[in-house]
Amino acid sequence: MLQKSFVDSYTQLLGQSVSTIGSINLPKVEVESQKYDVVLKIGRVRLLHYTPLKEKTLPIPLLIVYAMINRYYILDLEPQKSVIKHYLDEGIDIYIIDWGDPGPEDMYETIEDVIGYIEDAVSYISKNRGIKKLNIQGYCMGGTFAAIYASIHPSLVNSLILQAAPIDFSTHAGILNTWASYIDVSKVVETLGNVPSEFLNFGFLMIDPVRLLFDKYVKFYENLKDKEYVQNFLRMEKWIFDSPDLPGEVYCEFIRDLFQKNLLAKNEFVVEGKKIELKNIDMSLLNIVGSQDTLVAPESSLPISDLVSSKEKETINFPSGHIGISVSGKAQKELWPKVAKWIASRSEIKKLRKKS
Amino acid sequence: MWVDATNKLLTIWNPDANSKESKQAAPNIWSDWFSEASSFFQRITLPPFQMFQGISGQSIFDYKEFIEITKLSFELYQEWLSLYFDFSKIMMNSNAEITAKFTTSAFKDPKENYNLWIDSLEKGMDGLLRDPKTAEKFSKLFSKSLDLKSRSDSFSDKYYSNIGLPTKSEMKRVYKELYLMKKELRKQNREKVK
Repeated sequence: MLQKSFVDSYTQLLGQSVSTIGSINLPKVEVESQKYDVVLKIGRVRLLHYTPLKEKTLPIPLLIVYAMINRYYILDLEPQKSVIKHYLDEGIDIYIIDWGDPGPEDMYETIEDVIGYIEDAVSYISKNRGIKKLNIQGYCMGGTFAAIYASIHPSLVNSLILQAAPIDFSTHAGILNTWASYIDVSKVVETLGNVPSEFLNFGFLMIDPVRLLFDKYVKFYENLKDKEYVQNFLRMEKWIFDSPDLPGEVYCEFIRDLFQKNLLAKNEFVVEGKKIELKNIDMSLLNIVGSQDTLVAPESSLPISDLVSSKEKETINFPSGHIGISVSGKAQKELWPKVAKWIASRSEIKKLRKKS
Repeated sequence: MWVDATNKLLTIWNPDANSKESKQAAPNIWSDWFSEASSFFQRITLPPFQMFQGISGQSIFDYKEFIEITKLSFELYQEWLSLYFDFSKIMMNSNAEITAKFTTSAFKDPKENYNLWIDSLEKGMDGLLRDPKTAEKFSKLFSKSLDLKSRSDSFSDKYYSNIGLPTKSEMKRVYKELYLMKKELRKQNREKVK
């Protein structure tokens, strides 16, 4: 709550200074262009259902598992930069998991609990829609969770879409991979409980400090007279700093077991008492990778294609970074219409029956 | 009294301040003022310590712990300085590189020069940040800051336990119970839905 008001005040203040210096009037920084209903609440975690834009939606819905870092609305920042809108335009019925803000008691939450939330969401959607399978998309860390879920419950997943998802952590191509090997995670969780968003943000900004802490703001002041640029900038700033803390134990397992020991790619990561076998993933797989991604190196996302047993698998290596893959003009124009069509073509019951 | 000591101190600046007596009395006046002032400020800045001293019968202000925290703060500062010098070096190298370009070629558009500088700086930073030695230094810095936080927490825990407030470790146990209860509730809800 305190952080939300801080983020609001920060963007408002930045907006006011822009109004003063650039002599332009700016409305409040608004994000999220599409309407949704909260259809399920499990503690802090919410399941959102987007209001369809078409009278009739496709029968197999899509569940988006977003990362537990930053917020889901990067996929719907504004009408012109909205992955969600592309999907809705195709008639896809979308649900998304909002992980909310973890409280101090959530520091004990494990990846197994996270998979449990996905199980609850899938169970709710299946029951309410009267379907047996659905499409699942995971972004970044959410992609790792989606892959784990699909490995445990392959019979409940019709198709899997991974977006910039880290799977093989053996690479040192990304700066985060190098840094992660030096972190004493148990000490972090023991001392801090949940991992503060400021710490996570600092890590992300330090990947490219010259651009993200300096040049970005120089460019911003150069474009003060450009209202659209300023609004986009403020929306992005709001998203970047509107970041929840990460449950301590999830952080601990993610860094220790995945980053440092690479247990997932070795099929040795244990959830619900069972080893996760990625080869259990046999459904259609679409792997979307940002070839310029510095946060999740392509070398970490690409190997999934060789680790699964899906007959139908496709990789899109798009020339973009980790965030640009969702919001850049090029991605909005070239990538997402194509992905929306890929998902839509796998959202018909007929195809599902034929397959089964 | 501190007020009296201050009044006395002010006499040093009175019209007779240059008199022989006044000069002789000055050191004593200063020393009295320091003594009074420090006890006065101790009273206004550390009332909880005095109060708890009364409750617990002994001082809880653990100087040994306090010195340990100070020592850790210095160590943390040292780690930070070490990283700061690495970053400064990259910055200076970029500045030198661009300055050399200015002197050997015709002056370009300021924006173009800025872009050259940013590119050079980014290249240098990228090399530095990818260096495992830097990762190790960051790790040490972070580890030291966690040590400091941990020490400060145990310091506050002593403080809290003296006034009957729950300590951090006690709160952690409560949170763990709460987490387990929530987990059990979720499990039961799931079974109910089935």
